[in-house]
Amino acid sequence: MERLMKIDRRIIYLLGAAIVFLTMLYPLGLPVAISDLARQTYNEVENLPDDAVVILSPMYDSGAMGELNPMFVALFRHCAERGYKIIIVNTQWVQGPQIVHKFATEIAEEYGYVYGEDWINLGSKPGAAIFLQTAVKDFWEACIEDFNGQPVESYPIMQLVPKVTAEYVDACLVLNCGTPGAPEWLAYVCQPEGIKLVIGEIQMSVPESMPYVQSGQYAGMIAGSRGCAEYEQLIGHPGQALKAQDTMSAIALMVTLFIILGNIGYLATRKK
Amino acid sequence: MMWFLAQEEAKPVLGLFVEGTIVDIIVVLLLGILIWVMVSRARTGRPIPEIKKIAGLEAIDEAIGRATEMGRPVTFIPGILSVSNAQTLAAFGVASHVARQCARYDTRLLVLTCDPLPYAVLEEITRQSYLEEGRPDAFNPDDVRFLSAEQFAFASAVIGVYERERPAANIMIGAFYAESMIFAETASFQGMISIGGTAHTHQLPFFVAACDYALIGEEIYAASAYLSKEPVLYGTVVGQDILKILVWIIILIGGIVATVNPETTFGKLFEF
Amino acid sequence: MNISTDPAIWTQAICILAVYTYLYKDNPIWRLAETVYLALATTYWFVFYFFTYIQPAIVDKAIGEGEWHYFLAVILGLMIFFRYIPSVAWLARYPMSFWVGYGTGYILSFEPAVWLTQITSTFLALNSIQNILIFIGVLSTLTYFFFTLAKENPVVGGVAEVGKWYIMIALGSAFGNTVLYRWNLFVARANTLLFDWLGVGQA
Repeated sequence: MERLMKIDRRIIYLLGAAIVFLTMLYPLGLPVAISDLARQTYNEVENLPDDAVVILSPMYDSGAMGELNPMFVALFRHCAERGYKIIIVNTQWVQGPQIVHKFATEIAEEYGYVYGEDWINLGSKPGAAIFLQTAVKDFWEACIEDFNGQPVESYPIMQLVPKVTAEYVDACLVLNCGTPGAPEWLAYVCQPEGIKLVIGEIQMSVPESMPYVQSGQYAGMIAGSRGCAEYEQLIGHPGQALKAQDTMSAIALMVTLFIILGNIGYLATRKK
Repeated sequence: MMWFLAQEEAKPVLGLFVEGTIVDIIVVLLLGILIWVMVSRARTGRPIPEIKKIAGLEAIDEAIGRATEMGRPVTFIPGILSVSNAQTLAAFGVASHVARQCARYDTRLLVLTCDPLPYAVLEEITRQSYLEEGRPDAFNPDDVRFLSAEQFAFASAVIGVYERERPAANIMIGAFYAESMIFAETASFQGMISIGGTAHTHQLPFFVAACDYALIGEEIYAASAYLSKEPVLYGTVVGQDILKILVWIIILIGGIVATVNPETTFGKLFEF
Repeated sequence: MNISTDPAIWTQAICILAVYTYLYKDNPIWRLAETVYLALATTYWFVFYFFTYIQPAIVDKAIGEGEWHYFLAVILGLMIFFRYIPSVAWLARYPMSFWVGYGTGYILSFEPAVWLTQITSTFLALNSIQNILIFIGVLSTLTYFFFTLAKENPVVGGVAEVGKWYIMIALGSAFGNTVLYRWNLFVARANTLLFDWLGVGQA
């Protein structure tokens, strides 16, 4: 039993890596059931008006892209399918808009979306809460330039949104991985202005964000990689998240087994 | 002129309040008054409710004692957020206590920071603590270090410090994110005594699992006041505690009212 | 297999492998990766701060557009360096005081609305197991964090003990989610190694 308590961590890493590589090379295609939360989130985006304008905010950097890139792709695709105008902008997370630009350009091309008319990438803006509050009062003043360094007011899509208020924006879709993130969008923009807020949350912070879903402050939440896999099924475009679910299921099983073994070992040595 | 722009277009109620913020103002005022009364009483030595002992706090002195016996340094990390975050402010209170203890026992203290502002404040706090203990000569400004503003670069640098300086005790109080597990795990493998505390629920499990002692959530604020006995901190925690008790009573009443009459508009009272 | 010829992908792959060598033990390859990353991040942030804050405020606004009041903020910011001159070190506290005061005021203006909604959303009719569990959880967890009430009191202590269990269950849930999140990050890196770099499964 004492051996159980002293398993070399490198064995666990090696086993984990083997499981990851094997399940990625030989996927099992296990079914992924769709939860009520994913359906609720899908419906919140699906049921926006046909001419809706949404802000899609990738509030993350390279550290979280493994989980949030697939969510960005799923949300952008869903919005493009519905014909919504999409504005990409974030604050403080400098890499976010750079990371997502490639995906946005590819999907926009697929749906015949014209840059500056149907979608725009405004890049990352400094200021966090100050940026958000300024955007509520004067979106152009807050953003000044887009991703390519052109004045924002020169684009037709920006003529639709002089301010980030419920009058001009139908929903904010925020991909969250830290501070500033969805709570700042809620406190400074969505709650005071009454704009619907849907978030994509990294698996780690799902329990922390659930009270906001329960209170209705977040209209919906894509809950981690698993939630994204469900969302991908709902929009009918299986992507990276769905592919990763076999691997994640196998890993969850391995971690659970090690936790059980570790606890058995701990209890046995404690009794001694 | 972003800040001034942000002041325009408020919608006054009674010519004074922004719509929907009256209860907010009352709550903030109430909290302010409670804190002001408690701080005043603490300053003038009049009785106020006492903060009860927090389990795990003695561990800080134990850890420093052990580092002293081993002749190895103590590391202190105040999280990775800036001075506008309450957890960072709580870390300052604990840092002062740790620095005093280290000065008293002539133990080397390494303070590792990820943001320029806490770096400046902590250098000041550490210097002051050494001065108050009558050991200004023992204070080495190079031991208070700004390592990087980038999260994982900071994490890498901290691991580097652990590897090279071989501290015996590791104290981490403040706002931590994904780096928490990296620190706690490395410290555990190196046989350090680790004490972790954060109000981030997504990181707490790692501190609970990998540290020898953990301060859970709000305990870090109370710890700061308990250790320093500084009237402002002490009065603030006591004032907040009274507000928490009031909130507890309001929730209890809210639950009872909602059960008796599910159609109640009791909750609407808080939306003015 | 179709190994990538893109230098960016090769750099990514080498860096990923170099960092993962730490899992075996501390070694020079890991240290090289650590040092390069630290230097890169420092330079990146220096350039970012210069072009995002310093250049727009000083070059564009203050000098370019003649909005001289920007210099007030610049001077306030620079005062932080007074701490290196012992005789006037006290002046360095003013920018800090401004920043802490501004941050606190800003948070107090917006945050209460958010957490008041959280409070009112717990006014639940106790007519389902879920609602009862949430209601008990909120009250008992709050009790655990009362720092001025003695936990030796059987009522307070008992309720706080229930709160402690709730906290432990929440931490367990957070732990599970975080472990999976970490593995998911590894899956993304494995994706880069297997498919982007080595081109496994590609003709």
